[in-house]
Amino acid sequence: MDTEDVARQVSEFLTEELGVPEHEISPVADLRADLGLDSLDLVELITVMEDRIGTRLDQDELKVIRTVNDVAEVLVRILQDPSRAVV
Amino acid sequence: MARGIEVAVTGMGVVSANGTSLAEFHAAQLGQVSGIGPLTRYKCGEDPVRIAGEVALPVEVMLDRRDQVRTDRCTHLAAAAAQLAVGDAGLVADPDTEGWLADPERTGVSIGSAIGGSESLENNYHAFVTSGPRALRSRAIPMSMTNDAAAWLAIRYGVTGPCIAVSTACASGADAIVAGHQMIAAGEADVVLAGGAEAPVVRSIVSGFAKMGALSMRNDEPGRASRPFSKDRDGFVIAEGAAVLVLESAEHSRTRGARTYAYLRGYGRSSDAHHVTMPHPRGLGAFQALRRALCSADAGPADVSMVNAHGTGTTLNDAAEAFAIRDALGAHADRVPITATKSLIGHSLGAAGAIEAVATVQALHNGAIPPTANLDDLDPEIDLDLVVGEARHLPVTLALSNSFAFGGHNVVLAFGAA
Repeated sequence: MDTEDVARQVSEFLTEELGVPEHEISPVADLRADLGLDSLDLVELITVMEDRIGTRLDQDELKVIRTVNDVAEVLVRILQDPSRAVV
Repeated sequence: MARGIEVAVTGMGVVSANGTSLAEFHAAQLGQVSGIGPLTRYKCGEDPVRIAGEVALPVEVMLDRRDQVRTDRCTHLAAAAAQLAVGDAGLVADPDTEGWLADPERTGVSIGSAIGGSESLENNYHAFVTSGPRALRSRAIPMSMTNDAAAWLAIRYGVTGPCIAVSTACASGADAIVAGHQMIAAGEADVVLAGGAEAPVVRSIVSGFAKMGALSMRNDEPGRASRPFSKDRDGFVIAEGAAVLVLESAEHSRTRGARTYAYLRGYGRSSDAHHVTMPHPRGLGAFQALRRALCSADAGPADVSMVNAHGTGTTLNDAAEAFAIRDALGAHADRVPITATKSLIGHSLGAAGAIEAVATVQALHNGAIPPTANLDDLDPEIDLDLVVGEARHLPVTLALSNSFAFGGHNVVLAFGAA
C-alpha cells in the first residue's frame, strides 16, 4: 500500500464511520480544525487504522498527526519498516 | 399551584409511533390511528415478541449524519422532539443560527430515560464479548449513558442552566417534568426543556421484557395488541419515542409574549415501597400520588376534568391503577373521563410520561379527550368511565396524567387550563 491507498482508506473511514461529508475531505485537511474531529473521533480513527495495518502507533507518531495525509504517511512508514513488529 | 409559582407550558414537541408533529399526533389520538406494527429495527426471527411502536423520523428533524453516528437513537429522538418544541415555543430566533431567545444561563434541561442508549450498549457489549476491549467504539460510554440526551440538548442549544437526567423507569418522563417545574420554582431557571426519550426496540431489551411476561404476544394483530383496561389484555407493546415540553415561569412567558397551552399546576409523587415490578395490588402508591397531585394543585376530586391513565395493558397495572383512581376521586370518578394513550402508541418507557403529558395538554387545550383504542370488552373489574369509540369534546379545566413505574415510582402531573 502506498500513501495514496492508505489516505483513501482514511477518507472512507471518515465518511462512512464518522459521518464527515465527503466534499470536506482532502489530503491536507486538518482533522481537528477542518473536519471537526475531537479526541474521541481520533481514537476511533487511529484504533481502526492500526488494526487494519496490524501495528500500533507510539506517542511520538501520534503527536505529528494533523492531516489526513499525516495519518497515511505515518502508517505507510510503519508498513515499510521491517523492524516494526506486526501485532 | 405547587410552591406558589405559575409554570406555563409554552411549547411542545413529540415524536411517537403515530405522529411526529403536534397536529399529526393529536389527530391520530382522536382518530384512533395505531402506531403499532411489525418490529423492523432488528431481525427478530421467531422471538416471542415481533411487534413494536417504531418512530419514522422525518428528515427535517433528523440530526445530520455527523451527529447521528456520535449519538444513540435515544438522543436522536430527544433531539427531534426538542427541535420541534423550541420551534413551537418560538425560542429559536433563526433556524440557521439557532439564536436563542431566552437567557441561556437561565435555561435548564431535564430529560428522563429509563435505559438511555440501549442499542449502543448492546452493540458495544457484543463487540467486547466477541472481539475484546479494542473492538469497543471510542464513544461506547457517552453513547450509552442515560444522560446523553440531556447533555446533548444543552450542548446543542448552548444553554448553561441546570441540566439533569432522570431515571425512574417508566415514570422518568413525568419525573423529568416535575424536576423542570422544581428548577423554575426554586429560582434556578426561567425556561426548562423538560421531557423524556427512549429507544428500547433493541433485541436484548425487548427479550428481557418478554421474559418477564410483560409484553403482549399478539404478533398477528399489531394494531389491536395494546389493550389497556380490556378484559383480554395480555401485556404492553414496547415502543420508542420522545417528547419535550418547554416549561417557563409564567412571568417570563408573559414578558416575551409567549403563547401558553396550559399551566403545570402541580404534581404528586410516591413510592409503592412494595415490589420491584408488581404494583401494590390496591394501587396504594398510585392513590397517594393522585391525592398529592390534587393537593399540590389546590384542587379536589370534583375539579378533575379528565385523567390520562398510565394504562399499560398489563393485568396488574391496569387493575391497580383503576383502584387508585377510584379511591382518589371517590364518587366523582363516575364522571371523570379516562383515556389511555398507550392503546395507540404502545409503551415508550421513560418517554411515556412526557408523551402523555403532551397528549394531556392537547386534550386540555383543545377540549377533546381521545378515546382508548381496542377497548371492546372493558374488564368488569375496572370501575371507571373510559372514553371509547369517539373522542369526547368538553371543556377541560384540570387534567391529570399518571405515570407508574417498575421500582414503584409513582408520578401524577396536574395540568390546568391557561
